[in-house]
Amino acid sequence: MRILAIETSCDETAIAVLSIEDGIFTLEKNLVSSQISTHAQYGGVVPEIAARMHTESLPLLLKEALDGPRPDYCAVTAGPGLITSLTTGVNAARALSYSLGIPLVPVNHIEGHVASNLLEGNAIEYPALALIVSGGHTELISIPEPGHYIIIGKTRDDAVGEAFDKVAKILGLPYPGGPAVSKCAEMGDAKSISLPRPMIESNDCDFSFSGLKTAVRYLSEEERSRVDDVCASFQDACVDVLVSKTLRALRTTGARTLLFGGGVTANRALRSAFTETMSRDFPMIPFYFPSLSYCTDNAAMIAAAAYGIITRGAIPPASSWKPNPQWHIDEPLV
Amino acid sequence: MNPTERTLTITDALGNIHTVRIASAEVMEGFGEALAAQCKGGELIALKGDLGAGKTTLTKGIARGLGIAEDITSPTFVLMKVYAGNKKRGDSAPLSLCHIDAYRLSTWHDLEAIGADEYIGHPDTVTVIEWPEQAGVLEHCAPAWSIAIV
Repeated sequence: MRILAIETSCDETAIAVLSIEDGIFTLEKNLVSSQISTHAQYGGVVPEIAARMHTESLPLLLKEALDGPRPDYCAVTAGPGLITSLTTGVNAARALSYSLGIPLVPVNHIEGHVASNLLEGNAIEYPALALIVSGGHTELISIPEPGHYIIIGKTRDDAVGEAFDKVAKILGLPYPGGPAVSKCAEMGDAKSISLPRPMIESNDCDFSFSGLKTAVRYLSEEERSRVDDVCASFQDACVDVLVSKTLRALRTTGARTLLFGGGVTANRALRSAFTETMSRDFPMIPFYFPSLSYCTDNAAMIAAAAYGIITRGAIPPASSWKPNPQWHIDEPLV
Repeated sequence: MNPTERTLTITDALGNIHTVRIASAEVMEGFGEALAAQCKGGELIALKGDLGAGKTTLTKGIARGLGIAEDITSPTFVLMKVYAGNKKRGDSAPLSLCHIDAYRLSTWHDLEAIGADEYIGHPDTVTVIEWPEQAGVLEHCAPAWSIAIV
């Protein structure tokens, strides 16, 4: 089986071709056209420009992706994301599916991030738990069996990646804020500035990062001028909360594998904190970080998720759905 | 919020200006709830204020006042979030909440591109827009309340 997948939920135009033989994945093509440098001058993704750039990039990437054997399925990210960006990808996928006469598989972007763990042949035991953290998402998802997702924790305000972006803005650091803040953090002292750990004591798996951003804004002038220390202390607070809530979720769900996904999982402090804690508190539970190229938005993960949907016979009729910018992973697409 | 005190400068559709002092995040939510109680549908509420001023906190209160149980999360990433009105509230017409972050938009056309014009001013919807000055909102529609938070 060969799946061509299109991902345009935000600012990366991505197309991948994944072939699956006896359950073994071979990634034949994995193309990404990044718009980050364009949006950097505006301090964030500009929806109109993103849609136009997707429209320009898609034909070029498709030409390269289709230079090979014909795919059997076309998969596309149908949400969540920016509506203008999603629509561009879905329109291209619908046209391709129609012209090649192959089924169209809509995929949830978050399910894609979960599935990024399948690309490297990791053995996942169920029930599993996934922490998905990015610029737009902060979710703890329980997976009792393949294809069955239950959101057991989420942010009540800002996504953690968004908090990084906003703190970067408050400190006058460049966009995108995540890499900028963690780079400064490497040179700072994480214990030098006291910041809150929002909701760390709450009796659930939810998160809140908005107050942490506000706390950074209201640091004294003297403290805020020590940018490296602020970044290190802020990052430390975020990681503390993520680790604590994830451990709580592991205990309550009895998960047998821990998966990570999303751009923030590229963060080195987060990786080392989880590695240290897991080997100390849960030495029997395997945990997987996707390779860096699969943490950020890509189409290979969409193809991997589509493979699961296809094998479960769960492809919805093409006329039954449209892109949904607020599609929750635990709800059907309409 | 920290420090917790805020001052709201509220301009209504007739141009009357009121000033309200808010002592804490809880009071900010309570104020939003009271604002929602005055809504009949179709209102646009424009929120101005820096990062961390409390715009989302105020919006959470407005949602609570509309009887919406869902968590109000930041619309920054997807630009616009729509929350269905609560039918159980017993009103003849439950009001939906449309929450927009216009920070990254530059023209009214951008709002049309994300479909926001279908909600703004709609009689079944209360629309809250953050950073209204960014997308030419104030040239295209008159907010029921324009609120500056400092």
